[in-house]
Order: sequence, then C-alpha cells, then structure tokens
Amino acid sequence: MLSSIQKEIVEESGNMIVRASAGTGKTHTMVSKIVYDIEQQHTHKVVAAITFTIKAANEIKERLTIDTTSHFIGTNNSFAIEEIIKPFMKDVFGMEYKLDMSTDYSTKVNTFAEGLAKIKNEQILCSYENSKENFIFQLALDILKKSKSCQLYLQAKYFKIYVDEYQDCDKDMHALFMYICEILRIDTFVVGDEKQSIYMWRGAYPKAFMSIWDRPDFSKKFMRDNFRSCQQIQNYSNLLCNETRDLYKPVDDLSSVIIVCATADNWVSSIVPYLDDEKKCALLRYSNVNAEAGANELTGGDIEFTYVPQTPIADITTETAWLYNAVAKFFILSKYSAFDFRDEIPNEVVGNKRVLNYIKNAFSILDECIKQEDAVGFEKQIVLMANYLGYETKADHCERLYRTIYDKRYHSAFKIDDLKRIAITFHSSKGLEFEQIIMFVSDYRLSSEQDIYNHYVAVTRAKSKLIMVYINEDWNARQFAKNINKILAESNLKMSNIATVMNCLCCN
Amino acid sequence: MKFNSVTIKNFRNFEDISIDLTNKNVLFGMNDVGKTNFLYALRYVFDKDIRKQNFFNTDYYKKKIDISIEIVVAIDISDTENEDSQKLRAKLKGAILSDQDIVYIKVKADYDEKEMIGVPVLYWGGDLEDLEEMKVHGTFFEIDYVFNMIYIDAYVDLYTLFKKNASKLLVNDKDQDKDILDNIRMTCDELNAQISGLSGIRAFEEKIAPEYKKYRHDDISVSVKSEIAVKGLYSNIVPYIKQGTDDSLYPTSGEGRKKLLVYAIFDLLSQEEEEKKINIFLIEEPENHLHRSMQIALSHILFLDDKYQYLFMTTHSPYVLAEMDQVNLVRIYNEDKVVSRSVLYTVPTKFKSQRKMLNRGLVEAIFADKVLLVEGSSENVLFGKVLSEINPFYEADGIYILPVGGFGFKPYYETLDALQIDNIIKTDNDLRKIKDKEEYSVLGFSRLNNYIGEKILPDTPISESGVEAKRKLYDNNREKLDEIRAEYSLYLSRCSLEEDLDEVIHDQMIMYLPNADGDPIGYLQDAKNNHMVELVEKLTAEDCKCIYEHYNFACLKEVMP
Repeated sequence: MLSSIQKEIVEESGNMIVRASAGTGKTHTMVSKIVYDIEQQHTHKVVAAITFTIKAANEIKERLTIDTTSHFIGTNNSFAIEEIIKPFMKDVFGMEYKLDMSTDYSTKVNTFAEGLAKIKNEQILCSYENSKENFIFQLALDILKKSKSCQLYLQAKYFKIYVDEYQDCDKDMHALFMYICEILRIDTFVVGDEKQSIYMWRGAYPKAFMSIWDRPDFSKKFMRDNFRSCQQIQNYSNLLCNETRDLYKPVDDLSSVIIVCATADNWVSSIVPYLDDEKKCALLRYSNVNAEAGANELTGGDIEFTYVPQTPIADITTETAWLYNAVAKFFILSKYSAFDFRDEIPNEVVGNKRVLNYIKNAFSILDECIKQEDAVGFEKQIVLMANYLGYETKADHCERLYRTIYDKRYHSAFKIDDLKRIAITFHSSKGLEFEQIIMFVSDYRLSSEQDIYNHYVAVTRAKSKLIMVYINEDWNARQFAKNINKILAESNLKMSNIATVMNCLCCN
Repeated sequence: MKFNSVTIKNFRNFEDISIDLTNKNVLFGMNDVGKTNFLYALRYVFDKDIRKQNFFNTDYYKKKIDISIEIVVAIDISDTENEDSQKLRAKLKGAILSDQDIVYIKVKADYDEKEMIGVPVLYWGGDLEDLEEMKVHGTFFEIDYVFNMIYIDAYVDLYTLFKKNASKLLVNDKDQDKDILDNIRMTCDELNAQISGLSGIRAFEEKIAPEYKKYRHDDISVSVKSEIAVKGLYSNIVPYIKQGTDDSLYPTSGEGRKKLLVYAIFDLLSQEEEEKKINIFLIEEPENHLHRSMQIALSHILFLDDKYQYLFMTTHSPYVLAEMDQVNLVRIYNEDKVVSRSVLYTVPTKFKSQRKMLNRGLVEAIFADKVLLVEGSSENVLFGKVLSEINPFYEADGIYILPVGGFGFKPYYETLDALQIDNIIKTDNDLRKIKDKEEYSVLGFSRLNNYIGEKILPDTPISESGVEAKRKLYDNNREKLDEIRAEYSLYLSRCSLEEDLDEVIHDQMIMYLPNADGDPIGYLQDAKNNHMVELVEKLTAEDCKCIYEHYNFACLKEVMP
C-alpha cells in the first residue's frame, strides 16, 4: 500500500533525492522502490543499498521479499572497505597493499600518509584524529579515482545505488557518492531528512544533502505526511522546524503531548498516571548512564523498564558482521533456528543440505562450549565455521561475540520487539517507533541546530503519547523552556496551546 | 568477451597442450584422440556438477598422480562495454588490475593419496603468475554465478531431459491452475477407482500376494495403479508433435525430430539464465540421428544464431559445418603425443554470399589427412577415377580431392596449412594477354611465386601464347619446377589438364571419344565436366596406371601414402 507520493517515488527512474520527514514511511518506500527497480532490471546488475547502521541494513534485508544475496546491502563503511579499498588498494598503491586489513577506529592518525603507513605496516584501517575528516572515505575516493579497474568493477556490477539517511553523510562520503553518480554514471537514490541529522558532532554535514536538492540532474520528492504519530505529536514536531511549520493543524484534544514538571525525586510517580500499561513505551535519554539509571528508577517505582545497552558486536563492520549477528541470534533468540541462520548466509544456495548439516553440527559444538564456559573453544569453532562458509574472522571480534552471548545483559538488545518497556539512548532509537515515549527536556537545550534536530528525532519516535519530563530548577531544562517558547512564538503559539502542561510552577 | 586459449596439463590423454580459442570452436579429429576429454577439461572449469565428482587417479595423465592437473582458460574482457565482460568483471572484483585485459581461470588439483581423489581448487585473476584463490560458498565457486554451462551430449535423451526439467519448463502457478490441478487429482483418483474395478486387475491383485508370500511372510497386499496418481502429474507427460492441420498426435518417435526438440528445449532453458549469466554451449557430435538436411539446418542455427555465442562443439560431420564462419577450427591428432592445431576460419568478405559453396569442399577436407587441391571438377572426376583404380579405399585412408573452382586455392590451403593437414596443389600453366600489348603475363608462374612467398620463377611477360609457348616456358624452367614440386608440393601443369592428358593417352582418347572428331582436347575443353565423365567411364585400369605413373600427374603419386 503506497500513497500517491510514495508511488511516484517508487516508479520514477533516474537519479532522485527524497526528503522524508519522520514517520512518513521512508523505509517502506525505499524497500518498495528497490524491489520495483530490481524487477524492472533485466540484466546481471545488482543494487547497493547503503545505510548507516547494520541494524538498518538488516531491517532492509528483512523487509525485502526478494532474493537479495547478490546485492550489496550494508553500511557506508563496509561499502567503502569491501567494495573499494580492500580489493583495489593494491591496484593504486602497489602489491605491498595486497593484504588482509582490519578496521580499528580507535587508532588515530593526523594525515593521509600516516593512515597509509598504518595499513602497510600494521594492516589497520584507522581514522583521523579530527573527527570531521573521514580517512576511510578519502582513501576510497582516491582509489576509485585512480583505479580504472575499480571504476569498471562498480559500473559492471551496480545499476543503482541507494543511500539511506543521507543527512548523516559527512563531506567525504558525499564526495564519494557524487563521484559514483556523476563520473561513473550509476543511478543514485538518496533519502534523508536534514531535521533528523543527529551526527553533526562527528562530521555529518546536512548541507551536502541539501546541495543535492539543488542539482538539476536529480528529481526531487518531499514526503511530509507523517503516518506514525498522531496529529498532536505531528504538530509539536512540525512546529520545531521552519520548513514544516505550515503543516500545523490545531486539535482540540491535547492529551497526547504532556509536559510534566517534577523533581529529581518524584518524576517517576508524576508520570505514572499518564502511562498506558497496555502499550509499548520507551524512555529515551542522551547518555547510556542516564538510560540505565532511568530504567532502574522506573522499575523501582513498580513499572518495569528494561535497559537495552549497545552490544559489543554492534559496531563490527567487516564482511563477517552478519555471521556474528546471526550466531548471537541463534543462542539468544529461542525461535531462531539453524534454518534461519542458513537463510542469512550471503550467496548460499537454498536447500543445500550439506551446509545445513554442517551448521547444525557447529552449533551443537558451540553450545557445549558456552555451557562449559570455554571461551577459547568457542572462538576456535567460530573461526572454523566462518572459514567453512568462506569468511574471515578477527580474534577480537570472536571474543566480542562470546561476550555478547555469555553476558545476559546484552540479550535484551536482540529482543527489543518483545519488550514492552525499554530504556535506550535516543541515538539507538533512530528508525524505531513506540506508542509512548518518555523523555527529559534537559537532554535538549535547543540552543543549536543539532539540538533541535535531536529533539525532533526523539519526539517523532512517539505514535500516540509523548511525555516530556521537566525537572524543576535544572539549568538545562530552563534553557529548553526559554528556547522552545521562542520557537513556538514564531507561530504565535504558546506551549499551553499545543500540549497539556502539568504541575508547572511558572505556567499556572 | 572473447575466449583466448586453454591450456591442459596432466589431464587424461593430454600431457601438456595449449589451444588457441575464440568464441565459436569446433573440434575434430579421429576417434579416441581426446575430443570428449577436451570438453571434460572445460567442464571441470565451468560446471560445478562435474567439479563435484573430483578427479580420480585415472584422470591424471598416465596416472602420474605426483604432478597436479592444471586447466587454465584465458578470456579477454577488454571490451568493457560488453555485457558478458561486465558479468565476469562484476564477480572478479580486485582480482584484475587496471592494466590487465585477460582473465585467467584455473582449476588445479593435487592428488590426495589418503582420500584417493584430487580435489579441484579454483583460481582466477589478471596475472597468471599471481592468481587469487576463488571464493567458495558451500559448493558454489564465484564463477558458478557467472557462467552457465549447457552440455548436450551425442546421445541426449529427449524424455529424460524433459522429465528432469519439467518443473522448470511447465510452470503452472497461476490462480486458475489451482482448480485445474485439483480437478486432475480428482480425475486420477477416479481413474484408479476404475482401474481397480477391472476384473483382470482384481484377479491379478488377488493372485500375486499369495505368490509373494511364498518367498517372504510379509503382511502385504499388491495393488495396480496408474503411475500418474502415484508419482505426480509431471512423471507422466511427454511432448507429442502435431503436424499442420492433421489432428492426430504423433509420438516424437523419429530420432531426428527428438533431437531437434532437444535443442529447442535447451534453447528455452538457456533463455531463463541468459539475463544474469553467460551461457556456454558444449555440444558433442550433434550430427547423430540427424538427416543431412537437418544437419545443415542445425549448422545455420549454430553459426548464425546469437544464442550459441560461446560454443565448443565436436563433430565428424561436414554438414554440421556447412555454414561455418568466424569459427576456430581445432584439429586434435596423435603424433608421438596428442597435439592440436587450430585456426580461426573466417569467410573472406568477397565470398560472404557464397559461404555454403566455399565451405562445401573445405568442411570435407578438414576431416582428411591429405588433400589434393585441384582447379575444377574435370580434375576431380579424372583424379578420383585414377586414385580409386590404384587404391579403391583411398578416401577411407584419409585422402580427399578438393576442386577449388572460382574461389582460388588460397582460402583453402591457408586453412589446411594452419591445421597441418598435408595438401598438394595442382594448378594450370596459364598465360594471360596483357591489355593493349602483344605480350602475355605468366599467370601460372606468378601464382606459384605467390603461394611460395618468394620469387623463384621468372615472371617477366613473354611474347607468344598457345600450347607450344606454355610447353617451352615449362621446359625452360623445369629444374626449378621440379624443386618446387619436391619442396612445396606445388605441381604446375605443363599446359592444362586436357593437353597434359593428351600427352599421356592420346590414342586412347581418340578411341574413347568418337564424337570428338579427332580433336579430343577441344572436345574435352568444350563441355568440361560432361565430356570428362564420358572419357573417364571408358578408362581402363591400365590407362589409369599409365596416368598415375606419368610425370604430368606426379601429384597423384604424392597424395597416395
């Protein structure tokens, strides 16, 4: 089921940029478009669907109803590393770079030359000290520009490249994608929302996204109809940003957005009356520490919230990343079977019995290792299993996988859908949605563009209820109050016009 | 994308052989020289089902298991816009560098004495000395996502092929099919109920169980059913051919028809793949069961249809090659070891429209060991008669007489030379008047110089023409001409066929050709073919012996082994 704008996006060919406000069905539309485009394509060529996180890549894979094995669906970094740097670095820099490199973003260098030396001497792909510069993408573009073979490879393989969350691209990523589009003439589809740019602190450059909006060789689409949030929540989020302010539609019932003024001691009991026990709820906080503390306080107040930490394997970006995830799912999720695992093997043939038997056998050995708390044996078996399937592992990654499975604290990360109430950082809430959202206004001072975007993202996770906690006497919260009033004044509105405000010392 | 070459080392009857390839390749040679093994070598590279069988010690040349089997195929992908080159490049990734145009795909198998097999490992890349090991996913190597090898063996069976692929060929997944399939199932049940109602069936069922129980005391009963109900719909349907407006069905019984239907089915199956993969056709002796005219029709499709862009075919039939063009002819033969010669055969532009005519003689000649190239049909008729008098089985012994007609000798001897098929040329000592001058160019001499590639014979024009002038010219240069005979197997007539023959059997010709009015040469030259046939019919064994032994026809002695 597609709306008319979504249908237009799906069926139009060529370069395209889509601005998609939160909740407008962005992923659904992109997945529909990928399926449509693949069905229209009657050659060997495939697509690359590029996302920022493995989670987003998996979501696309899961939603695609077609066979995706030959297509590239993965993160920005894995695209640059697996499709350009690893295979073609030797073509440009010489055979001494034909080596097995691994990524370690904690290793920092200052110059491009230092980065090259790290690869040559230590086989490490590292990052720049200056977080606004991106070594991996600078290297990838340098290789792509100089390697005829790499250019021919990408042209021979891909008919279209899709980049999700484009507003999070930094200028080096943008340069690479535009080179692929302009020089290699591979159709490019980008989707994003400058309002949802939450990574400016590490170089994300929403201006790049908007610069595509001005290009004559891209057709432009704007998805503004939020299908997720109720009208009142939409109103609140639309009022935050200039370009959506005109979408404001006054409503009579103001019970969906509630500001609860409280103290650090009584905030739990102050919000309880507004929570619907039956519906899913998430507490979003800026830091992991606060998310965990918040979960504890809520649980202490007799509403159980589960804190969902980031797993040790979450930021692995190698070609083998799927395997770590799949093994973890096998041991953590009771419904995830060897069959499910087999179905995730990239390029594997459906119905291959030998592989299935091997997997079952490998899992029983792994299971024994976990029971015996034999980390060494476990990691050895992972190496064997990966090699059998044609993948290479890293000792550090195997160890992280063992920790992810062994330490039960991490298991909740794999069961987010099954948990009714969770506490997470708002960064990891990106792309998710919940009936009810609880957040602390002190996390958003709204004094910078980035802060407004962060707030926009957090707010638009909510479908039917948004509860904002205002802690009295908190300096950050006061900044929020000052700035939100200014923003609302742009539309000649006050908070009480658009939300239910409870216990406010100054409002009432 | 263009196939460049294949090298086979230590595999079956190939110790070490390198063969130049192109996209269409025809292999020929005597039985048992290894044509099938050659195809097998390619199948080990491109067909995962063959690779899965591994290598046995008998696959190693003379069982030399201490040396590895190596098969390397070289493919040129410098045409970067070509879709097939792109299909290959999309999987090669960084295995080919910017300055490389040729992909080497290698199968290597070291023999494992414990397991008693050689497991094939695949490599590929742009540098033969530094290939990358190919990734494997389960039983699929990367290359298996690129190529689809279609092997059509000489005795392919229509019904087996049809049954094996019925589910691919007959896709009944539309909504309305559901109801029909349900109906069929019900009809089958009914059919079986009817069958079991037959008295003979019932009697059999009753009698057979007690008989069985004499051998073994199992509690069983036997019932007779239609196979369709037990093994499913597709087990029991076969293709029938309906002819024109005739409503009756003919089982596809003729082997020729079956074979054509087989090719049609392979066409359908390959269509499914060709969007995503590169189809390579391996065809073994397609001539089997096919009438000559069907073979020629097949030839047209094989050489002119885009579908068979990549073709490796073995054949013993000249008719299958009738339409050949842009094809690599590969002759495999035995010297002290199996060797091969290959040549890219292209029909010269000026003969494109007469391709079949030009090819007609050549496709016969390439199956011979020794070929006598002659000017035209008169020579063909006469020499055929003489040779069969000397040796009635001369053709079976690998000798073939090829009249070149208007095409000249060149397109023929170039191909035969390249394939190292011995060939002997017999040509006329022609003179041609130079325009506006009372001079004659020595055409026959120039022709020989041209074939030799060196000016051995004088080519200055002479001032007279006619039989005597030719004889004089010949005799003045006889020493050189004799050397040319010995060294290059080029035989010049003293004059032409008829005059030369007249020197040998003048009296007989007068006698045998009563209508010639005493001028047999003129008579023979007048209606060349017919009158030569008239003469040849009357030649005796002795006449033939005479001709065979004469200096003028020494080419015949040379062609005889």
